Amino acid sequence: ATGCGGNQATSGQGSATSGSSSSSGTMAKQPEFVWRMQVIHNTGQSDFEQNKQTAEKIYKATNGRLKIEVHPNGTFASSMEAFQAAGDGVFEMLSSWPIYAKGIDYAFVPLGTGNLTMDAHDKWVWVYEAGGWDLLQKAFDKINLKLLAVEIWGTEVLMANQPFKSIEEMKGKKMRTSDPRLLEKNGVAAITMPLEEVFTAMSTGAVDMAEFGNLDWNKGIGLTDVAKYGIWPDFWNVHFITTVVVNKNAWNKLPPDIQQIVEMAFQSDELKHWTRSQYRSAITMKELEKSGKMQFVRMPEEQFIKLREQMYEIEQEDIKKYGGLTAEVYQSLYKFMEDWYPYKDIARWWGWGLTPEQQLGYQPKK
Amino acid sequence: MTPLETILVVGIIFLIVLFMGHPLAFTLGGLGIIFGATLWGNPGVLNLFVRSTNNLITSIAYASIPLFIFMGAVLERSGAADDLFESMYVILGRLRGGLAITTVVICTLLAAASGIIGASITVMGMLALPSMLKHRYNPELATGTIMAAGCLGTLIPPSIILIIYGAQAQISIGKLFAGGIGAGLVLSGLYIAYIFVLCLLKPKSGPAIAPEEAGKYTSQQKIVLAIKSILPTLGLILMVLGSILFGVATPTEAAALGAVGALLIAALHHRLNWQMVKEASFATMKTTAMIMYIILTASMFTSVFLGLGGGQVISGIVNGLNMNRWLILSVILFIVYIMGMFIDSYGVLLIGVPIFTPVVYALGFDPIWFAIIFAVMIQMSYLSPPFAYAVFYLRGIAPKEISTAQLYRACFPFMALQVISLIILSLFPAIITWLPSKIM
Amino acid sequence: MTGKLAKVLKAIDSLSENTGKLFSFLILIMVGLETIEVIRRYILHSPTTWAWEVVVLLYGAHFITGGAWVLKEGGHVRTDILFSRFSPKMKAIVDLLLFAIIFFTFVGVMIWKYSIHAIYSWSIKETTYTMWAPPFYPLKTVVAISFIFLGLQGLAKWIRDLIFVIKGEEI
Ligand code: NA
Ligand code: NA
Repeated sequence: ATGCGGNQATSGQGSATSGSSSSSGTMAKQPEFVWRMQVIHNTGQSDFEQNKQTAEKIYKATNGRLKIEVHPNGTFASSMEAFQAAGDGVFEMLSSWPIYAKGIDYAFVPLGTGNLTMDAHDKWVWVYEAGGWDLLQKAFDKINLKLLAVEIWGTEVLMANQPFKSIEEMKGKKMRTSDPRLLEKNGVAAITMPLEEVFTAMSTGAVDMAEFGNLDWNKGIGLTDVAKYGIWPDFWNVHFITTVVVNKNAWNKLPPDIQQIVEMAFQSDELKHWTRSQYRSAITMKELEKSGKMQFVRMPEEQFIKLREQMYEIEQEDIKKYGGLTAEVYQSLYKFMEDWYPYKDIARWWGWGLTPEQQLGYQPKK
Repeated sequence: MTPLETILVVGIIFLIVLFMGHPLAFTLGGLGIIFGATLWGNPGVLNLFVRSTNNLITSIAYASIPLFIFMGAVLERSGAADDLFESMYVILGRLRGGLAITTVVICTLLAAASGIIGASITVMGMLALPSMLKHRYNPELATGTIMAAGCLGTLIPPSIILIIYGAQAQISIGKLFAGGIGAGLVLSGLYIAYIFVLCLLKPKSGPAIAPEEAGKYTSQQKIVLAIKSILPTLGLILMVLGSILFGVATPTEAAALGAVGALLIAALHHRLNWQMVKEASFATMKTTAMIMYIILTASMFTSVFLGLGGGQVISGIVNGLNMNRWLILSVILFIVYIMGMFIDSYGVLLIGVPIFTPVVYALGFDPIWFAIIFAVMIQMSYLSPPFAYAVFYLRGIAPKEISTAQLYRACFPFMALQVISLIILSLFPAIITWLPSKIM
Repeated sequence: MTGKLAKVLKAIDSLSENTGKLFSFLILIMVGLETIEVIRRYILHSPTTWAWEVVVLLYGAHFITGGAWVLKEGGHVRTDILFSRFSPKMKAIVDLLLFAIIFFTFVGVMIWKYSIHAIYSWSIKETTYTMWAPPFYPLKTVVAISFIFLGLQGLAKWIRDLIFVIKGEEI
């Protein structure tokens, strides 16, 4: 157990969680274990708030034996460094995007995201049913981390200065993206700049478009103030995996009953990021459209068929270049898609591709 | 130990070591490691310092620091900076304090081109300080002007602090930028007014050109001087600024363009040669390493402070407050100021934003207004002795004749002006909130 | 004896200084790369995906290697309000003590932990986290060596202070 970290439970603020003092006297006076957890978000944003709540649940469920202090992004290590830092034991737990660990093993890229790959829903199926979980753990084994929970983020929006209708129209334009592989092949001037520069670049026109997060998240930092158009479908990060991981040494010190509680607590709310970010984005879109601040565009699907073929070529190059776990992950994904898509195609939801009105069965009042 | 006791012990030992004259960078790094190793409760903490290092050596935002410093070093050696200030000295004629006022104006322009404090202070220390000292300006006025105006970059966009604040508090960064302009101009205006009045009352603080000297130049000559000496450097700074505003370059790239511009100006002055470039490179390295080691170790110390429960201590204080809303606001701002004395501004934001914003919103203060006021306080903490980053940055390049005590004293009048700006911004909040409400 | 020692100390000085001077030229490459990138993007509409990252890696190597040189020149700033009033001997005594406790803790841990880290980075052929993914281990090696040089320069300073306190000699 850590020696410092506070025994006065306070609540409702930043860097510290807190046990609630309203519970009965069965709470342990001093936690047996005090852990530090760094998350990918800042206070007030969904990943921080949700993990804080989970930490509170764990505190109660263990009768105050395990206290997890939740700290915002960058408190102990930058996002890029955080996985290794957790594995090194700087802090015990981390919630973050494993793509940031790709410097350790390239396999974290296909494990975590991809251009023109499957959507969040399908990725869930792969993770839980078709081998994804074990492959993720295999990658984390390299940095002394145990995988506790997976969250899969859904579709993001492209923030743009022009209502691009196709990749063709984007040729020669400047796009900020985290993954330039496919764009470069199609003549888009892909720029991988970090957030500090994106905002200024977007508002001054140094870039013509930028992908960052879902619409709700982008609104939070004001990207919706500097872009006129929001464009779908998401072809750059069709899904994005967040993982909750724990340092193995710290984990092994926990008694089995607490281990069980921690696992259950973190896994219980996994879907919520996805539901919340997507629903809030829907509401945000409605508001932005109503106020006339932004307009939204959907690019026709057909053009992506050829792009998917290109992407497959890129993936093959990755396999050749990196082999090992990267190859294993791609093979597992292909195998899954071969099994899954024929079924999904024939058994698909009846409303796929219909207009909102057709799905409702009535004309909603404006 | 409770977190409060821990933090008190940490703070006291820190101040003792600092006052015994141990170099700041090693004080922050060494004590960060010692406190981490003894109080953290987990040997893994030592790897924290590896991570802090990796974080800083890959930071695009900080990459602009050496680039700006190099621009300053070249301008200094090209003679352009000297020409600029000499010409201003002549052109402003009998206006006392004219060089200091010029410095504030240039700092304001630089602030619009850079988001990082260390860059402007060192650049202006190289460009403006020699001229002011040569013309017998009071060293405290000269250095105070550079340190205070060199901090304007936190308010005038682009500003790294406002970007981080916006991302943390979920406030539109564009609106924060718009809000920062008004407050930045108020401060800049106050500095100019102060210099003007001070030199009016105490002519020796910023002596004007002697009448017989001034008489030597006809107005035609002055115009030629202006074109030859002022336009290139001013044009360069405006070009750096313009390249950002018109979307040609990102802030880091703009700093590089500035360096190229400085080399061109040096060529115009027939001073561009390998010897000069070499010296400018050496000077850049020494200044950059000095500043960056402080930034590096400050981030290490900050992470340890956060991990030892620094945030809990502060939220404990704030959540216990029960008084008039303006008093609560004052206490909060005072805490921001105290925190800024010990830890870096990123740490102040990490702790402060989540703890203070709910309280302040509940009291009915405007989110954008508060964010900007917060940024003013962070700026003030850069100037506040004993742990004043601005003093340390300028110390690294100021001549040895200027003592550290003088630099500390130089801060006080400008801190008073910052307090006045807080009062003005509180009485007229529209200075901050008007522009954000108009443009978006 | 002192003559030999003086030679070693001088060697450390010139190691710090020459390393710092050599790496100071990285600034020229950084300026050049950024400028070319702006031209490529704004005029030719074909930016690279790697220029900014090369600049960032160079920037990291740039400042970190300068630490030892700055120490040699006495350029790491200190709060000298009290310190400047001490006698030369008192200054040396204070430095002997605080460098032993604070400086060497800092630099010792950094050398120890960062060397392990750099070796690990080599062992997995670590790349950066971007899609361009250049190797990360060269920069990490530079950082580890920089901390070693900083430690050497600190040791040189410490030995000089010690000799000054004991013999009153400056070497
Ligand atoms: Na600025
Ligand atoms: Na301060």
